Amino acid sequence: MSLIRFVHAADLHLDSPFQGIAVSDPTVAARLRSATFDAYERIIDLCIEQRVDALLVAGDVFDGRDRSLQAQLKFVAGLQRLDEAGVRSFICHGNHDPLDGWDANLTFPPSALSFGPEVERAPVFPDDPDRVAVYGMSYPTSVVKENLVPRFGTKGAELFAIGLVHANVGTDTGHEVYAPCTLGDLEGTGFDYWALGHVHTRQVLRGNGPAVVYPGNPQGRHPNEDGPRGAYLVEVSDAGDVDLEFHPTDLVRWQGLELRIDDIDDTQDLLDRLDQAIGAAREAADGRDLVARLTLSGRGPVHGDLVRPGFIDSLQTDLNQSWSSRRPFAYCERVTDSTFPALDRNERKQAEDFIGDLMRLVDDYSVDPANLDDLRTALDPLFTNARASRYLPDSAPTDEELTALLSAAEGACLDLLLGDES
Amino acid sequence: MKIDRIFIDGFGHFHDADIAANGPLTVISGANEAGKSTLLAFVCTVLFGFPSRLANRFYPPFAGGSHGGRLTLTDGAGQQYTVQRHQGPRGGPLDVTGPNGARFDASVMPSLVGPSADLFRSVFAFSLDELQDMKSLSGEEVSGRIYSAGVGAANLPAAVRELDASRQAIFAPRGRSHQAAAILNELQDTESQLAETADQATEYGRLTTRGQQVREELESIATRRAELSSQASDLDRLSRAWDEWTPIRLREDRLKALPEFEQFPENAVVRLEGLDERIDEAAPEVENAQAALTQAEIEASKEVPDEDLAPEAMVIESIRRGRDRFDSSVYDLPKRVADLGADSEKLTHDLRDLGTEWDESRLENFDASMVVRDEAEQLRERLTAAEQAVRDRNIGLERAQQDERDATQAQREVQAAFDGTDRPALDSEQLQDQRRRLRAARTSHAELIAARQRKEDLEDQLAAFDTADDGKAEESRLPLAPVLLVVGGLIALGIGIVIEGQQATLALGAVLVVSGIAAYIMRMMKRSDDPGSREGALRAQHREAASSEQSADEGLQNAGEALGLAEIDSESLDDFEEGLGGIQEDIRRYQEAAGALGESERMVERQAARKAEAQELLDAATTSSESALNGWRTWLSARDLAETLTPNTFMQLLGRVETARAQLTPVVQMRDRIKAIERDISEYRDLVDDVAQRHGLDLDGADSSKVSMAADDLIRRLDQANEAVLARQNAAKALEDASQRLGGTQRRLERLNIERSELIATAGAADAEDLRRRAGQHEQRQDLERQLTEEREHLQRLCLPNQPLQQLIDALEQTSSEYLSDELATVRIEIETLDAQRSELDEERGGLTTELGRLATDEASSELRARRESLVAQIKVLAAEWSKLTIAATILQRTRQKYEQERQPGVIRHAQEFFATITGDRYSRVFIPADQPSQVFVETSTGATLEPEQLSRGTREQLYLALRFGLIREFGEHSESLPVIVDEVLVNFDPGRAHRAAEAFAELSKTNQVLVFTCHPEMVELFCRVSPGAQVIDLDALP
Repeated sequence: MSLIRFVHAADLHLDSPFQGIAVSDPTVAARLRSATFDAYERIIDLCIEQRVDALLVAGDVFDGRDRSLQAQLKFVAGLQRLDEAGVRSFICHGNHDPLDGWDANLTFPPSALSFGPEVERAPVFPDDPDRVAVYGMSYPTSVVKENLVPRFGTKGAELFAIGLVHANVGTDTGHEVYAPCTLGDLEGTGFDYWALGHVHTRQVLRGNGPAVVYPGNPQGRHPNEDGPRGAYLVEVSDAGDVDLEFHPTDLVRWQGLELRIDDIDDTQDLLDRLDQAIGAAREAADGRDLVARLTLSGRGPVHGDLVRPGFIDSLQTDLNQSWSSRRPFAYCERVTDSTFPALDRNERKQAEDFIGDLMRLVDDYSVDPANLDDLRTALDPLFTNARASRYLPDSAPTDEELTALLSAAEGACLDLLLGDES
Repeated sequence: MKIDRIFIDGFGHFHDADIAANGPLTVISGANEAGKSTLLAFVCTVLFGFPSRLANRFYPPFAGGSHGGRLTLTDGAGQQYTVQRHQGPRGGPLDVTGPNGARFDASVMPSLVGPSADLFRSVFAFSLDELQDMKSLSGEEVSGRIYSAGVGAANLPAAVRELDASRQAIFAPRGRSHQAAAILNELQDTESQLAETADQATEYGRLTTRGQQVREELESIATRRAELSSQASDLDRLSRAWDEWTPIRLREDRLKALPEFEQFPENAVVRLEGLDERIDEAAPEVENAQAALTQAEIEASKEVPDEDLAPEAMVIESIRRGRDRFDSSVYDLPKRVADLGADSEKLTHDLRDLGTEWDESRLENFDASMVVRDEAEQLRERLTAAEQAVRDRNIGLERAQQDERDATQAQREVQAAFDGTDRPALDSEQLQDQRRRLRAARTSHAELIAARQRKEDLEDQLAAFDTADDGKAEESRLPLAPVLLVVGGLIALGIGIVIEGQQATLALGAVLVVSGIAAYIMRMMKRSDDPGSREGALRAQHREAASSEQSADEGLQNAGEALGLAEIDSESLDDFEEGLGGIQEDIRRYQEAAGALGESERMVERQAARKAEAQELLDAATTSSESALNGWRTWLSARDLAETLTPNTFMQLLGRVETARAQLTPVVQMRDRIKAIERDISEYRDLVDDVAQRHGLDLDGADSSKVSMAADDLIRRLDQANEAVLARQNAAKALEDASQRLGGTQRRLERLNIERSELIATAGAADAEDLRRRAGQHEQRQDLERQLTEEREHLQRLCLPNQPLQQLIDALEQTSSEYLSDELATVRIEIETLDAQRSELDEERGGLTTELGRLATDEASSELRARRESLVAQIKVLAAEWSKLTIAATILQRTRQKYEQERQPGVIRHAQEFFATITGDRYSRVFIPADQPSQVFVETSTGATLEPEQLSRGTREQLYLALRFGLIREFGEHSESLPVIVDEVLVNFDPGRAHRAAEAFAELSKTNQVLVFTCHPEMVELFCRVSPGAQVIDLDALP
């Protein structure tokens, strides 16, 4: 007998497109479009199959910027299913779906509670209000820089208190800092479980007393969001011990694949190795569809082929023709060539000639990042272009990005200057 | 590489020209048109090929020879090659022969003469014209060499171009057709579409709210409308009830004004009128009945004529029935009598034909049945057969008698023939003995001949042994068979040869000749085989043969004796055998004659016996015939017929009897018929006569016509009497009927009058008029009551369920028609208004539902966002690629600047040295600025910077020559040294600079072969001076 069983999910980002990818295959594109919905459906299915007492969603249900009506309707439809199955639901909203950010006039089922801008206490079992209570609040607007934990106060009369909020624990999360707090802040509340959202990679910051958990997003939406994605099934014993069980809900899995070309002799060998790599990744995706971003690196004889105009495109087309029609499919979303000619750079750099000069110049740029401004200036025409800059992340690449670009540029120069010699 | 020898097969005016270059510097001199330019073109053509177009017009071989030639070259390693080329497709076929006669294809050429013709022509082989023009150095490869040769970045210009092109293709700040622009345009488009979908959620919320409002409004309208509808329904009901109620009220008033009759008779007026009508109808009927009664009484009292005929009606009816038959009988009788007369006459005639003894009685009783006929027929057949048998036996007897006579005659003839036949000399047995003896004689004769022949052969053989001469003679004598064969063959051959087409004859001849010769040879061989020692044996055989001959001769003599022949030989034996044949024929003829005689005698005996047999048969037949005739006569007499009748005449008699009997039958029948007719006439007359007399009619004898008239009169009078009686009977009946009818009619009239009076009394009326008035009032009242009942039922239907009618009537009494219609109109207007509102709201609700459904299922927004994300991703990829290329271009540019500043290319450095030397250090520096990479500048010793165009023509030529020296030196450092061929390049130089330039060439000739073409003797002299070992070739001196 347990005190409560619930599913903790967050960052559904319903109906938000996959970021940073260009998919040409219509089947794959349709699959990706529906993936956030399908993952949400899996969460609902999980709740119903496991006969949990409640579903907790810790913010970013929607991508507020998109204001997708579909997302709102389907979200409510899922809650309706839970209501019909006798599962209560508790939702708070975060920076992507603040209370002022979505506006379809939707009616939540009676068993669903969407928290408002102030902390509210809601018993999970209305006929036993002191058994388990959920405390939660939503972002009134998208930007909440304030530490919200103090607003939650301390645990009340209930046996088990759950805090539901979209927040940043610590500073180095890789996400924008909203509602920052520390683990200590959370521990200080006396709550038993902090159901958090915002960080897309699942993390259990603390297992018990209190349990502090980020379930991550239920479906990776970005090349960097690789690996299994899902929600936590949480079981709390009568003694208040928390047992976490992760359930993957993603339908499409991301995988970054890197292949070094150093020991690859020809293009057929390259194709075979790529085939193997994709096959293995697809195998590891647990029967899910796979979207892979492929990076070729290292130095080797096939570099000459890779730099031939159109080669990378045709390589990608070949791979996708072979894999995207299978079920589950594997789709190679991008092939990035980061390979270099098969030459000994250090040795070549010693030569007192144009190429030696060029390599030394590149090294000079790398040694002193101040030199990089010279390159940044060269990129200004694009990054300050009124139309293009809207879609580029920042006004110009970072030093790190510039260093990577510099290395690639050196490769491009060598390819052109050395021609077949490379 | 150096050129050792130039052999021109045919090129321009050269033909079979052979020029050997055997030093580092060779001066080739010649006057104008001696062929210096032609020679230069020849060298380039052999090395790099004829021009691709119009090659046959390129220095065509005026002086003859095949268009082209060959060069003998030595490479840096000292290996010698012969390169030969003649005009042909694709620059002309190239033939390269290396050391030891090894053959190479065109791919060996770059290692011998450098990578391209352009480079060679502009750097290594040039004339004054090219020297004066910097453009000849601006070829891509040459220019690249100037700036980058030997620095490990030979592809730099191409790399810069490619980078620029790639960058421009991706993004150009002021461009419009780059990839980024296309994607940005699409992004803009996508975003504007997205903006259109951005308000979907707001719109959905708004529409949902509005939907709720509409639903509430519709509910409110529905409630109000239901109330109004009910109200309208009530008003409408009352209004319709009002219309119904108004006539009810009027009728009730009228009903009250009418008197009330209790038990008023039903249909009193109708009934009264019916009675009056029937009374009116009954009066004429009474009158009619009385008139009919009167008439009937008259008819019934009329008298009847001939009433006394009535008791004899039966007899008169018989007369009526026999009337026609009587007429017919009277008419037929004379005709029947006439017919009988004719038939009787014929019968009499037939009886007369049969004979006097025949009368009607015999005719009738004569038996002419089939039995009699059969008996007669059988008797006739028997008689006929008996007679025929007698005739046949007579003929048989006559034939037997004739046969007997013939046999006797034949016997006599055979006897005569036998008597004339000789008896043979021998009988058969004797003949057989003679034949046996003859065969023995023939055997003995044959043995004798054989033994004699044997003996003679042996004697011949023995004679051969006796004498050699005899033997030779024997040998010389040609044996006949071979000789005949040979002769015959020769004849056949002769015929075959003489006559054409006789090949068979020729062949036969040849065969015969060969056979003959072969037979002869065999014979000869056979002879030669006989051994000489056989003689003894032969003699023994001879003795034996002689003994055989003797014994055969003795046998033959014995046989001859037996046969009676004195001398026996083949002919005598044959004659004897022939004689025996004649005797045998005589024996056969004698035996035949004797046989014929015996046979004829036996025939005579047989014919005599047959004649006696025929006579017996004839006698028997005659007896039988007589018996049959007696039988026939007995049969005739039994029938009382003459015995003289033959069966045939009996048959004829039968035919006539039949005919006569056929005539007898109608005669008898006609007699009977006439009797019957006469009886009928008589009986009828008696019948009529009896009645006629009683009623005063006299028949007056047997006149048939009077009988007829009397009969007719009786019949007519009886009919009239019958009619009159019937009429009187009918009249009596009519009288009775009329009387009854009159009585009935009078009673009915009486009853009607009573009924009428009762009706008036029942209605309480005084008279018929009063009854009518009262009936009218009663009917009016009933109508009103009925209408009121119906109208109240109608009104009841307008009541609400279970509402009493009176309640409705009370309500009606409290309102007015005007009030109801005004109120109803008001309510209806309000309902219409509500309906219009409801319709609008329904429509709006439908639209809202559709729009909400569309919004809920619209995936355009998702797709557009995915599209936007995809485009942004593409932009980022392009940005990264463009950044990479831009940085690549930047670092290339930076490296080049640095390189140009810190490392002037070797070409320029070498050129600078040459230029300083040639100009006597007048110019200290040659350089290419980093920002003008295709421009060469010079610096004077005083530091002034000049462009080539600012230099004098000679100095400019010296600069370009220096640049070529630089290139040649630079090129030589990295690859095979090529020969330098110059044509009049020093003519514009002053003597000092020309001298220094010549020195430079002499210096250059240490690394590269130098061929100098000139038409100026002083140049020849100059080069010989600066390079004492220089070879001079005078083109004008070439053969």
